[in-house]
Amino acid sequence: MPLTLFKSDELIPERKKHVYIKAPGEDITEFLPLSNEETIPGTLSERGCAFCGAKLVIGGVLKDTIQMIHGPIGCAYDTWHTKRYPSDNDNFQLKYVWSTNMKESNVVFGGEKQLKASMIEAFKEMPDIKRMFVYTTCATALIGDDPKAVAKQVEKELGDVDIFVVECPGFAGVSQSKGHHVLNIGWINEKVGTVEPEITSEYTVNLIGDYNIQGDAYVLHCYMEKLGIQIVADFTGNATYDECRSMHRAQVSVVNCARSAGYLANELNKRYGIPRLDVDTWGFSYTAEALRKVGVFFGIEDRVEALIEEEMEKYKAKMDWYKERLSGKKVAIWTGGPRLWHWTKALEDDLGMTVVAMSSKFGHQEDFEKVISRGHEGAIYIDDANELEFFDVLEMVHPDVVFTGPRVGELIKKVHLPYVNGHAYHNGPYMGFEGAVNMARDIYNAVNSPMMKLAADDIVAQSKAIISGSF
Amino acid sequence: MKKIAFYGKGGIGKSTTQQNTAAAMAKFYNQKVFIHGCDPKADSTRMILGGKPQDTLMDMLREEGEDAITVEKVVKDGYLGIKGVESGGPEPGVGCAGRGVITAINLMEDLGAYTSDLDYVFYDVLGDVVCGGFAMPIRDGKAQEVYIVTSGEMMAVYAANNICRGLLKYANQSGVRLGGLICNSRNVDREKELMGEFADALGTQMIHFVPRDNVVQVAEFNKKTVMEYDSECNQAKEYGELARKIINNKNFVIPTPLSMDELEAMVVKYGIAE
Repeated sequence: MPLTLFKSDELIPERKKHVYIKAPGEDITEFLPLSNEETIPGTLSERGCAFCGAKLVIGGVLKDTIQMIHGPIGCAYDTWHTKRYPSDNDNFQLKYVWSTNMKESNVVFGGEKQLKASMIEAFKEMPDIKRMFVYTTCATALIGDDPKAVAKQVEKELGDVDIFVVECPGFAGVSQSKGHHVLNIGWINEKVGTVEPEITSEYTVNLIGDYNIQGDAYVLHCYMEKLGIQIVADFTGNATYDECRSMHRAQVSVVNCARSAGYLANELNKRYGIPRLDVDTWGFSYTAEALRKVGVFFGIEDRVEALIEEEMEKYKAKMDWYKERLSGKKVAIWTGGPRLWHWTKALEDDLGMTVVAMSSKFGHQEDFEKVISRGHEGAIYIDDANELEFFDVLEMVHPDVVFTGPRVGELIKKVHLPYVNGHAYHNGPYMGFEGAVNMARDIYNAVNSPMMKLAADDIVAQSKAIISGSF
Repeated sequence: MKKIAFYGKGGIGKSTTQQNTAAAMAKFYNQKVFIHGCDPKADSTRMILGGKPQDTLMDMLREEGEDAITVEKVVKDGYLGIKGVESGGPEPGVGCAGRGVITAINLMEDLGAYTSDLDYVFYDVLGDVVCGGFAMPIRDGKAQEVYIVTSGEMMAVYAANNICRGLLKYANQSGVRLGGLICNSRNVDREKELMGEFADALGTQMIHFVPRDNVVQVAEFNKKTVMEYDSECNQAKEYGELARKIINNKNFVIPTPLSMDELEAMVVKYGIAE
């Protein structure tokens, strides 16, 4: 039975359409879980909101941009210091966040005056920063504030600043995904093409859909440099506001995260004729494949092979060591969406592990098409899994480790299962050849750590038994 | 294509005036008009559509979701090919109608509903400019002209003045301008004079004085505009005149709203018995 209703979901039977177990002989033309739909009331969902998708995932990564959150303080505070994307601008984007601190009277009387004053104050406080993203939140979107008009005024008054407004209130859409979309489309409509880059190589790319988690972008930059390829813009790992405005000048868009930024790549293709080249930048064999694809595009295959050989020299033996010890181990992936299809085959090919269960918080139909095509039979695929379903899954497939976030990691700690931080990594970066080794090491340490076994010991019962002499 | 927003006190006759003007524009001047109702009551297109209640945008959004909405589903063709769409919104006493207007207008723009073959888009906005959401039609890139429907009644004048204060803010931001006052007569004594003085004080014009005529009500009861009900009657000609004046209007201003004292002083003159 491909679509399954878990016991824990008996009171919300609509969940059945979101849970799929791949059976032999089935393919995605027949069965696909529903996805990107309204969250079902009663489900303990892991989803976030549209504002999160815009600010936390994409906008907040930029290293030279003031992040002005137009709303009550909570939206800003709870998205501050929660990500691990460094930059070579002294981690400016990790240190600060700005809020217009909307209070009740601002809600009643309108918040635009407050917004304008905040924007000017922020630029004054940071005299070296001339770029800003403004985000609307539920409160300010509801009262009809017009931040685009305010931004125009501030740009006119200050003269040397550029401001991008994202209207992404949390109530819009069904998940983070709406925020990605709004930001992508707004960016290409308003900002792409407004800055001309300096071209320094005959080979130019945009790196789209990488956010420099724990230095992933640095790894990719290193490869591109060695290949003599210029990265016109990263969207948005370790990127500046202005480089993202010059994306129209690259020859190809190399896309990793198709979910959060595929829209932009498609529009660059439509409007500027820049082709979209989808790759996986995680995974040992996938990285080689990704580099080869880029090599074929530019006709520099020999440079690529030289680079791959160099990296293999350094890291293949280490991967093999981990593969020997991790083969046959079972893993579950409970993340946003794309990492399911980035990792499901990579973990199997690179480390001989079996991916037994996956859950996507905000993936769309195309993400499920990709992951189910790459995944094997018997694996469980869930859209927007809730926390009770997680426990059902654990009982069904007994993974040895789970790739997920710290919250769910704490949850499964209760049943003495280790997790590896699938969103922001334990010890990253995880991209590229060296990243695959880092990831393998973290998996190995998680699976073999004595902590979980020790935690499972009931020391109270043991000491009682010692005292009573029965131990 | 010109985008026009109609504001005015609740019940003053905005929807009636708009639909009749649209009908006149279509019948006498061959203009293609699109009426976008911005009122949760969803009654801005009733006469154009012959009384058929229209599926509102917000209802469809709620029931079928954003991806299921198409222009064909929500934009209906009415009398003389005038197009109509209703934003809809919450029931009285709940939710946020202003946000409904924002969402509805954004959706229409995203769907490309305001096609280039249109001559006019009318935004029929409820009551006064109450919250930020109801000012959506006069934000940048939307209505460039505003007409305020009013009468010689004190409260209507008060409301019109208040709306001008809201307009002032947007005029500076988005370039929207006041095209004039439309006096929907209530047979108040010296109404025309008062309107004339009021318009002068605001820096605008009374673009047309629409006389009170029972045929408007009769036509409405019959779910028709005056044009459709009796295109030969005098009132039809009046709406024809209003249509012509709007089409040819070049008098666009940033209004100068009166202070309360000035307003009181002005109306007191007209209250003194002769």
